[in-house]
Amino acid sequence: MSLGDAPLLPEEDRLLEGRLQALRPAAPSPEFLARMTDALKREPLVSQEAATFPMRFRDWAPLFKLAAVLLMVLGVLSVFTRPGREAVPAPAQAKADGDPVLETQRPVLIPSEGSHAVHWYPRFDQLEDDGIVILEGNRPFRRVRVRMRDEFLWDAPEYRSSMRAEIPREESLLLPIVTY
Amino acid sequence: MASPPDREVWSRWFEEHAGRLLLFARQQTRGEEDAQDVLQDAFLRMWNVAQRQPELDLPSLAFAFTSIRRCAIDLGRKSTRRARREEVLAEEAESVVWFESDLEQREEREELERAVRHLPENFQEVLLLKIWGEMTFQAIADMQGISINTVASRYRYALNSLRKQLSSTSAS
Repeated sequence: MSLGDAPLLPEEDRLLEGRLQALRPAAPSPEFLARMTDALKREPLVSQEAATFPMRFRDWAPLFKLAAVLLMVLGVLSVFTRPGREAVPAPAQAKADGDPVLETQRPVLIPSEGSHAVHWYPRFDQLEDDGIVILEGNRPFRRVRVRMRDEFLWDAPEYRSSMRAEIPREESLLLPIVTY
Repeated sequence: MASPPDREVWSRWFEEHAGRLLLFARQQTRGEEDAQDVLQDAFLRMWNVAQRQPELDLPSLAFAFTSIRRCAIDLGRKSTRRARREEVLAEEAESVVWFESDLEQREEREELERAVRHLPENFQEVLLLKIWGEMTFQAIADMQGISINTVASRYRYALNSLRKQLSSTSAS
């Protein structure tokens, strides 16, 4: 037994070491040895190819090819499904002086130069009645001030980026008054 | 490519070292059933490692003791088994013999074994690895993640404690 790195021990400790070394660890029972042998036999033998699979580059080649094909498909799909190429509804606007449409809450898509869409959300804030005014050859009109906010939202989810801008605006509408 | 490990060779290696491995497993656990389970688990883990690293060939004793120690720690974390283990602890503790000896040395064996089993666990572990595991202080330090000076101190304390126990026994 190698106890070469043992510190310098007193004589009595070295004698004790000798007594301990004379003891033999109890041998396991034959039943336990048989159990271990059986367990070892039941343990599946992993093939060397499977055991070393992660270390072999050539086994990864089919996966790389599959990944490349998937990337190409995704690239093609992204080109043909760009939001800027979609049909764009016209922004809602007031039609005519006699039939004003004040606003719509529906988001409107505006195509931009790049591949990202800009959404426009007109927001209605306040309506003010200025009363009746006489214009153009004594024709009476009711003047109404409409305060709105235009919200523009630019979103680029692939960069996890977005930008929101609000521009206030005020429109004066002259509603003709028909007198009988 | 290195050849895969041979079950027969591994079985022979286990039979050769089974006594000291089981002794260490007994020290690491609280009962014979746990010790055998831990030893089997550790041995099969080493077998599976060897299949993936055939260049390692047969395991070293240090690797085997480390594997047993880890399996014992894993077992200790399983609370469901821990409760059952505590129940059988008292019954098993004295019934399993750690060492064997010739008939004429039976008293000596019983006295030493009793003293070893009454050592604090960290002293006991170092003593077992050093005397019956044939490990160096450096290997024990690497295995336990402590300094070599701490290992040497624990070994000296273990011997000192044993001597005191034996002298008090003989005096009484």
